[in-house]
Amino acid sequence: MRDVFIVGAGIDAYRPASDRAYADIGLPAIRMALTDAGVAWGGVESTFVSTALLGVAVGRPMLRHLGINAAPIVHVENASASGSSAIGLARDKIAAGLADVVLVVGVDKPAMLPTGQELVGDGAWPGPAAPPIILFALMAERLSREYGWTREDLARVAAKNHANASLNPAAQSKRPVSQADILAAPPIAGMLTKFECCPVGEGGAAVVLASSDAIARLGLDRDRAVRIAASVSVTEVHNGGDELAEIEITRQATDEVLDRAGLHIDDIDLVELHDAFSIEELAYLDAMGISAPGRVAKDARAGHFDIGGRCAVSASGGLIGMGHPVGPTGIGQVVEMVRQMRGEAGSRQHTRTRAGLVHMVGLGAVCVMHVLTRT
Amino acid sequence: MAQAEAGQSPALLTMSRCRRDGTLALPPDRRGCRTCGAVGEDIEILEIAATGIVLDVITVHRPLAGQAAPYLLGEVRLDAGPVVKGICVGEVARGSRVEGRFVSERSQVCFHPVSGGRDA
Ligand SMILES: [Zn+2]
Repeated sequence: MRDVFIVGAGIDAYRPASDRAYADIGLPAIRMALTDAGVAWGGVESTFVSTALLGVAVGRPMLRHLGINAAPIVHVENASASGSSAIGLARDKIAAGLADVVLVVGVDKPAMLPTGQELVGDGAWPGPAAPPIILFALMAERLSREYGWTREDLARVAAKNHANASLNPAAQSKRPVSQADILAAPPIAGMLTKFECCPVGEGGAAVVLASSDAIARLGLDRDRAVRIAASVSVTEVHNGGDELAEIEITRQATDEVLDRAGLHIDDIDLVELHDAFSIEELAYLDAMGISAPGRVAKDARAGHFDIGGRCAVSASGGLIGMGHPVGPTGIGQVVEMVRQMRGEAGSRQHTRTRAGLVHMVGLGAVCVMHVLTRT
Repeated sequence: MAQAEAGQSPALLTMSRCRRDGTLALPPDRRGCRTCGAVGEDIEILEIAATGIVLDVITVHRPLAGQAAPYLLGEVRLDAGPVVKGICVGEVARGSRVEGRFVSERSQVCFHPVSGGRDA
C-alpha cells in the first residue's frame, strides 16, 4: 500500500440553517482546499461527496461549476461518520494505486430524514421513540454512577469545547460558555443541558488527498503535507452483554488504528473527538486509554485535554462547539488537524502536534478513526 | 404523564429466540438471527410478560418524541432478558421492580412500579 497525504484543506464556516443553496456552501470549501493544495480542478482524479441529508445526486450540480472534469463522483452516506468514511475511501483508493489526487467534500443542510431503523418495519419495541439526547442522557446517568463522574465534569467538557470554538472562525458556537453558565442552565434530559448538545446546522468542508508520486509530479509543498498513517472503521455487533456499543467500538477502533499506525496512545498529541453530547467525550477518552483507568475526569479537571495540555481534545471546539452539520463533520475534524499540525491554527494553536487521532461515531453504530502524522 | 388503563395486567410482548444459539431479540428477529443468520423454523416466536427491573431512570424535561414533559424515561431489563427503554409512571427508581402496561389510547407500553405482584 502506498503512503497517502492530505495536501489541501478548506472549510465554509458551520452556521445555523439559512436560505443559502448547498452548492454555495460546498464550493467555497472546495476552492479553498484546491488553492491550499495548489492543485487545479482538472488534476483531481476522483471525488467523494459526503452528504447525509440533502437528497439524491447532489455532487454534480455543485462540482460542474469548477469546470470540465470527467473523473468519477461517488456519494458517501454513513450518518454522522459520512465524512470520515469518505476520507477513508479516498485514502484506500490512493493507497491501492488507483488514483493519485482525490478530492473529498462534505456538504449538508439540516433536514429530518427517516433512518433505516425507522423504515425497516420489524415492529419496534412499543415504547416512545428515543432521540439521541435520551440515549446519551441515560449513558450519562449510568457512567456517572459507575465512574463517579459528576455534572460538573460534564459541564467542564462542554465549557472547554465552547471556549475552543470561540477561537475558531469556522465554528457555529461563537460565544464562550462557562462551566457555571452550563450548570445554571435547565436540563433537557437527565443531567444534560442545551450547552452539552451539538448544534446541527449547515456547513461545508473539503480536503485534497495525494500520493507521494503526485506531490513530486505536481510540485506540491511536501512540508505542509500531513500523512494519513492509518484509517479504520469498526461496526457494532450485538454481543448480548452490557457494553455500550459506541464505547466498545471506540475501544476496538482505537486499538486497531494505533496498531496499524505503529503508535501508542501516549504518542498522540491531539484528538478530534465525536462529542455530540458532553458525556461522550469522557466516555470515549476513557475507552481510548488516554488516561490511566479511572482517571479521565481527574485529568480533564487538571487541564490535560485543554489546548496546551498534554493531549488537547477537540481544539476545533468539537461537535458541541464547532457544530455537527453531519456530512462535513468528519472532514472538518481533519481540516482542523491539518491546520494544527502545520501550525496554522491561529489563536487556538496547540503546542505541538506530531500525531493526531480523529474519531467519529455514526448511527448504526460505526466508529471511523484515522491517525494523522507529520514528521 | 401518560395514564395506563386501570386493572390491566402486564403487557404481553412478542420476542424471538434462536433455536440454534439461544439469541433473544425484541422486536423479534423474523428476518434472521442477529448472531448466526438462521431464518425460518430456527426462529422461535415467544410471548413474554413486560416485567423487569429498572436499570436507570432519567427525567426528560422537554417534550421530546411527542411526549408531554416532564416525564420519566427508564431503561428496564426485562425478566425475559432484553433491555428496553420506556416511560415510567409513579415512584420509580433504579432497582425498582416494574411491569409494563399498554397505554389505553396508543399502542405504547408504560412501566409502573409493582411489589410482590401487586401495585406498589
Ligand atoms: Zn442464531
